[in-house]
Amino acid sequence: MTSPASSSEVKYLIESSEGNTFDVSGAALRQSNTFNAMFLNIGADGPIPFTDYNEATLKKVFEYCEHSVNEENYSGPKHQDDLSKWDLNFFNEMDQKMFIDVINASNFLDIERLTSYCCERIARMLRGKNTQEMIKVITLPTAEELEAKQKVEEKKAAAAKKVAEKAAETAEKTETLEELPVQQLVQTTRNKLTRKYLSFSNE
Amino acid sequence: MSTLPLLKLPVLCINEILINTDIISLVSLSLISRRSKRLVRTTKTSLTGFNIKFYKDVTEVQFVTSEKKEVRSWFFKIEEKESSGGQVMEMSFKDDVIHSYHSAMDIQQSVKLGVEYLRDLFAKPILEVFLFPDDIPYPFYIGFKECNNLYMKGEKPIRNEDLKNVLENVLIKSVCIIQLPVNADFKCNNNALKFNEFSSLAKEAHWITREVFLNLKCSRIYLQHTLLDAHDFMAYFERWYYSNDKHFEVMLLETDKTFNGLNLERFNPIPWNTQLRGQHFL
Repeated sequence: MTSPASSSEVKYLIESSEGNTFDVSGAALRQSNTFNAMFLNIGADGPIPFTDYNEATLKKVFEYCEHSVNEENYSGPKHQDDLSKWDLNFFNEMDQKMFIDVINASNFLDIERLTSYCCERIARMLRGKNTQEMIKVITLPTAEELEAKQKVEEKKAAAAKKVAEKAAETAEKTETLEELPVQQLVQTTRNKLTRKYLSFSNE
Repeated sequence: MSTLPLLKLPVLCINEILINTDIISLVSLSLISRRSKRLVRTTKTSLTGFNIKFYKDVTEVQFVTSEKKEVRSWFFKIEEKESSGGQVMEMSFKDDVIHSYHSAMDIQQSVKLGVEYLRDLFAKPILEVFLFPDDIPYPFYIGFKECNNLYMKGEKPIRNEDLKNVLENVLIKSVCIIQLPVNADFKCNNNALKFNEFSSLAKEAHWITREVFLNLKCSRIYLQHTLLDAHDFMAYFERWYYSNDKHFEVMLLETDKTFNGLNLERFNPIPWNTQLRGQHFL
């Protein structure tokens, strides 16, 4: 099922974050440099886990890979004007959330062509826009938001520090509690032995 | 439509997006926040520098790129706009250009601030400055310290203080071409006249006196319509001939005076021969 073969007929099983599995052809998968680096030579004994991404996203990414299998070798990004109808439909079908998920997955899988097209598409969205219009397209944290985020992080760090300190204290206490009976036991035994020895020597 | 969380994308993607973004959009993006400015600062662009053209009503800052694409510019225009909420200037971004509107009082300061902002953002030099000072109603000054080339062109004489200001305060690294009438009584610090190439192509350049001429420290000199004579030239030549100056290359001198008295015989001149000249011959 999943073997280190170079034939395009070989199918690989991919596992998504939901735990679902689905088939992807070897030829499509080989467009992913991550896959090439990790599995191509050694093969995989079971489904390949890409569990950071959901099934819909992975299917969308590999749909693109399957489609571009037969295209000529990739030589730098094409401009959006040069994209085929299929490519345009592929991008237009996606909503914003899916688009972002596809970019993230494509970046992780290191599919150069898809990542480039997605990035160029975003660059196009920014073209000819003034600052106010740009803010409507992209989200950039404002200074206040950054400050608030920093405060939250500081609070979290302080809380984590407190928890760590408490844990350390508790561990210390437990250690002393556990140590006490043992010490007592040692002491009592030692006393008994001394007493016995003394009595024996007296005799 | 929801907005795109640009900074939450992977770093490589952000980088690729910014590389694909045109210069004008990058300027717009940099104005959103300090963080976005920092992002733009770290982006590799094809920008090589800026050309600045000063006209009567408009100053144009051109973005020069290594690619042979259409020129993108920022136009600073004199146009009275009602400022609201303390906003200093109004700007509009279109595909290839930025327009910003200013009053005649503050346009020069705005150009200075704008150019400083761009230089800080992209860390690129000012390549060429074109100055067309005819009918500029206010005292003119260039708000930056250096540029590679400066070209001045016009029909009317430039005000002495304006020219003095330009020549003394701007370090011109390579070429200075003055193609406008300069008043005969114009004077400036002669030490400022250090260029790689200096051309005075005006119909009248009587301001270039013997003293100014002898102070020129340029590799290539081209002067028209001066009042210099053969004795001035001989003095310049003799001083260069006995000096260690290896930078001087060529001089073309046209005067409004008769050029009698040129005597180079004592220097044993030889007929022109390209074979004997070095590879750097112009």
